[in-house]
Amino acid sequence: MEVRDKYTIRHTVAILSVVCVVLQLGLTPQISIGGGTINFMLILTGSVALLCGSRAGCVAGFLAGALYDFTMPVPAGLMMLALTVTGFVLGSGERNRLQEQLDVSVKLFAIACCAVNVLYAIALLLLGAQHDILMAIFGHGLASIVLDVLVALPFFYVLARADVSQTFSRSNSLRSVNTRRTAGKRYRKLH
Amino acid sequence: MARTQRYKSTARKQQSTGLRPLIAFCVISILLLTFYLREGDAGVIHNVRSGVTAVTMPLRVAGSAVAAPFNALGNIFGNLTASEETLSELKAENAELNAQVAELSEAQETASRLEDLLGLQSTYSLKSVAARVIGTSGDAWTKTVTIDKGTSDGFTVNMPVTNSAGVIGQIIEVSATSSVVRLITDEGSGVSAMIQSTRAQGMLQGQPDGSLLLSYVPIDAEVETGDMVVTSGIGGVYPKGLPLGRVSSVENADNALYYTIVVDAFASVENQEEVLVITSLTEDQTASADDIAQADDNPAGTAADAGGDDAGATQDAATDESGTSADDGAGTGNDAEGGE
Repeated sequence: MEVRDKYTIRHTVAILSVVCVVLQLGLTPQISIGGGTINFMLILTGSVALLCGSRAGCVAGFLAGALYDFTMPVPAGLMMLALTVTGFVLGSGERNRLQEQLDVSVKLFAIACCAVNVLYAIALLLLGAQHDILMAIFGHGLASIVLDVLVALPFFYVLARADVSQTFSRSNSLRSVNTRRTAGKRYRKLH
Repeated sequence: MARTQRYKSTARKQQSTGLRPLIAFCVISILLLTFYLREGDAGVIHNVRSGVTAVTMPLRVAGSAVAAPFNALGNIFGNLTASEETLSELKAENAELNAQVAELSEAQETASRLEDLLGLQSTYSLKSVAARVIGTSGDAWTKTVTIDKGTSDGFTVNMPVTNSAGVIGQIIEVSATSSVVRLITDEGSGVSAMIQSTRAQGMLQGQPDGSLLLSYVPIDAEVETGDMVVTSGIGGVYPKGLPLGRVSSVENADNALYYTIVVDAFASVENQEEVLVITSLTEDQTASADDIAQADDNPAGTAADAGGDDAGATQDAATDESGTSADDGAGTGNDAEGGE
C-alpha cells in the first residue's frame, strides 16, 4: 500500500516536473505581462515542497534553480540558492499540506513568492545588474509575484484533487482492513 | 528507556535528513555564484550554460512557434483603434522612413560640409548574418532576446545586432545554436552615441522603465527635441552612424554639467522578427584615434566650437566622422536588403 502511494506521488512529481520544465523553456520567454514573467521553477519547487516535505522540496528547489540559472542570462547560482531555501522552508511544516490545507498552502506559496522575488531583486541590485530598487521590486517583482501566484493556482488545485482521491482510496482500504481484523477477533471470541 | 532513546535518535535522523541537503546545496549555490562572477565572459560555467542552452533549443523554438499567433492576437487587442494590417504597414513604413531619414541626414551633412574636401566616399557593406528572434530572456529583470543562431554561424560575444530601424543591442552570451542579445533598453546596456546634427558626444544608457537616457552631453552643446541620435563608433563595438533613436525631451537642471536627455528608441523587437548580426567591422566603420581625440577635446560637438579658434579643425573632424557615418548608414541599409 505504502509502496503504491510512494509510487503515485513519485509519478505525480515526475509529470509535474516535465510539465513545468517544458513550460519554463517554451512559454516563459514568450510571455511578459506588466514587466513580470512566470517562474515555473518556483511553482514546481513550491508544489513539491508542499506535497512531499522539506527534504524533497530542498532537492527540487536546487534542481529547478539549476535549470533556471543555466537556461537564462542571469547570475548562475542565485535562483538555485533562493529556490533551495524556499523548498526547505515551504516543506518544513507538515507533509502533504497541499492535500489537507489548500488555502493555507496557497497563502504560504504567495508569501514565498514575495520573498523570492523581492530578495532576488535585491540580490541583483547588489550584484550591479539592477540600478533602481523601486522598479526592480515594485515594477518587475510585483508583476512576477502576481503572475506566479495566479499560474500556481490551477497547479495546486489539480495536485490537491489528485492527492485527495488518493487519500480517499487509502482511508477506504485502511477502513476495510480494520473491519476485517475486528470481524476476525469477534469470530475467534465466539469460537 | 530504550524506546525513548530510539525515538530521540529517529527524530534527530529525521531532522538531519532535511538540513544536510539544505546546507550542502546552499554551499554549492554560493560557490557557483562566486565562480560565475569571477570567471568573466568565458569559463566553465558559461560553457555549461551554452551547452544546456543548445540542448534545450528545440523547446524554445517550439515555444516561439506556438506563441507567434498569440503574439499577433495580443497586438490586435492592444491596438483596437486601427486595423492590424494598417498598423503593421504604418509601423514598417515608419521604421523604413526613420532609417532613411537617418541615412539621408548623414549624407546631407556630409555633402554640405565635406563636398569640396572629400567628396563622397564609396558605399561599403557591413558583413552581417540574418537571424530570427525566438523569445525574450524569460527573466523579469533583464531586457534580452534570444536569437536562433550562435557560434556555428560565427557569432561571438559583443557583436552588434540591428534591425531595419536601427541598433537593437549586442550579443552577451552565445551557444552553438543560439545567442542572447542584450537590448539597448536594458539597464546594463551602454552605447557610445552622438547627436547627429551637432556631433555632441554622449553615452546612451537603458533605464529601468525601458526608456533611453543620453548621458554626459555637456550643457554647452546644442540639443533639441526631435534630434536624431546615432552611434558614434567610439568603443569599436558598434559601427558609426547607425540610428538609435530620437530626442524626446531635454532638461537642463540648475548647476548641472550635463543635460538630461531622454531618447525614444527607433528599434523595437518582436518575436519571430528578423535581425542582422554584424559579424565584422572594417577600420572605416569604427572611430579612429583622431575621432576619439576630437571627441575628447570637444564633447559638445560643432555647436560649442562654432565661434572658437579651432572651429575649422573641429569642422574637419566632424566632417570626416559624418562622412564615414553616412556610408555606414547606407551600408547598413544595403546590407539589410541583402542579408547574409
